[in-house]
Amino acid sequence: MNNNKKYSVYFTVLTALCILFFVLDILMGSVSIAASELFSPSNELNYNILYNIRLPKTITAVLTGAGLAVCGLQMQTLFRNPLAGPFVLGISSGASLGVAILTLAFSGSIATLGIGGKISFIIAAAVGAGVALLLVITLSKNISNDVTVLIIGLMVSHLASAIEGVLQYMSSAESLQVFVLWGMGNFSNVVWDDLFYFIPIILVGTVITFFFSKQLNILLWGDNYAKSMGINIKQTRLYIIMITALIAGTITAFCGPIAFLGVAVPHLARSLFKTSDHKILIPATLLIGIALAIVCDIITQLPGHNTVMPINAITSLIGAPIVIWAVWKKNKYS
Amino acid sequence: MALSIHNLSIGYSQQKIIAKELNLSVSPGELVCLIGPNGTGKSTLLKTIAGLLSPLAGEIKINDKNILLFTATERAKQLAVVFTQKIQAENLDVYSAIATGRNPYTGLLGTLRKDDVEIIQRTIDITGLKEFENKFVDKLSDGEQQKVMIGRAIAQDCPIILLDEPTAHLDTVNKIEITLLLKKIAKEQNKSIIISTHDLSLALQIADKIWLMNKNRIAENTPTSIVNTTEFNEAFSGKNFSFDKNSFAFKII
Repeated sequence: MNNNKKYSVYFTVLTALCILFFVLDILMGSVSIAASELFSPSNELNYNILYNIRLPKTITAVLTGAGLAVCGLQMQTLFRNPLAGPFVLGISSGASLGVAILTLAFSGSIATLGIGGKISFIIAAAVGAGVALLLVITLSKNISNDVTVLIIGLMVSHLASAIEGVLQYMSSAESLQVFVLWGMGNFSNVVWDDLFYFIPIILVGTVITFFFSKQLNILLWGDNYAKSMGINIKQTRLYIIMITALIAGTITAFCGPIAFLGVAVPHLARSLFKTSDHKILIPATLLIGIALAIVCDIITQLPGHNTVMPINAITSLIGAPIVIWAVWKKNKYS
Repeated sequence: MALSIHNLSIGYSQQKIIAKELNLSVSPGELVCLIGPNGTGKSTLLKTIAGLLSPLAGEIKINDKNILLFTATERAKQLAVVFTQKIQAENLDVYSAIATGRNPYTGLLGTLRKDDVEIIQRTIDITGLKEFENKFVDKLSDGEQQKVMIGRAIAQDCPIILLDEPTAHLDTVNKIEITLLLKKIAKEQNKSIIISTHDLSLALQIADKIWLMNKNRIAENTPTSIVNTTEFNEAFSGKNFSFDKNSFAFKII
């Protein structure tokens, strides 16, 4: 079929772009390293910079972009709302709250907990994310209005942030510092030991999502139609919430809340591929999410500056206009 | 009987029973029109038959098996539904929309097999959607969109199809076309089709059987007999208008 040819061209180009950006991101930074040193660094310092600092950071960008984009797609389908996404609907705040409770409970000593600490970090964030999403979905039951659902999401998000604020007020100075730094969002805190958990969770999460593409395609028709076509709505919804909470929660645990990637990327995928089929949209959002996250990371360290810009500022600068465009396009004629 | 209903009570809770002691039946190849004033519970009845609402009492049987005993997938192979709500999916083309109806038959990833593709193609031909096959559903006219919705239900290949006001919002020509299409499907494919409608004249001309819903009850009869019943007069006449049995049209007195 004609479409399949088009899709394979797009997928090839996107994959090539991802590889190109990946290499560029590793080569860029405050210390300039020649491309020829990529596979054979001239000294130990450069080796460390390339393989122990920049490579984990770029891999983190890849995982974050892929994971958040796939979560955003699932949520936009689940809520049938173009503005749904992990950041907008309170998932990121829920994850933050989970982490805040954990961090503040252990008075900032989480860093010293080692491996057990990392796992409890992930669990806290995933549980927080899942609870927030469940709350939004329960409160927005029987509401078909896009904006109302969104307001509920924003309020749940604010509620989580407020509880966080109260907790911070009661916490010690050092745990506050740990938490505030984490809350700014960062790709560079992740080290190889973290990737040991990070990579398999995102990998498994996105693969499971792909196996839900049939259900997601039918969820686009709304609950009544989906039920009449033999889909177990409650069960499917719960599975999707669990997957998105795990993916978005893990990302938030490692990188802090990252804005706009999740909500913006699915729109780019839909308008490029012109399809509603999740078997195409899932890999498409995955690749576009990876490319966009690496580009954002590259921008944070543009040459000429020794300091790194906050990643959230860049993802918002790029993501917000995309969302505005998507909403404008959808409502222009209605 | 393809579908039979025994002492059924419908509604959203025991405190709010909308209709009760309903006894109805539909045979294969039969086209039933469900008529009645607004708010009498036509949609509630269709939703209950479709399994989206639980019966408050009594039972609904498909081929003598209670619908509550079917799994979701089994039921989706027996009964297809066309709802009133529009679908809002972006970039959904007509072919894919109709292919969605194959869901109960496809595997884990929803890959279409040869016989699925044949059924989809046949459905596109029957509904006259060939020229729109690759168009996006949200770019079509209301009448064409409704054909897509009906096409999806046909592709689901069930002995029973329920349609909740399939001709609302359509102009007269589209209304007649859609209704005739449904009649044709009922006869040619020997399917039981139940339509709820407010178009009395069309319903009486096309239906094999009328279900008249009014005041917690349903009267079941042929179109020619139902117009002579007191239930019919009660539902469709007022102080200064009445339904003329000969011309099948309302007359203002």
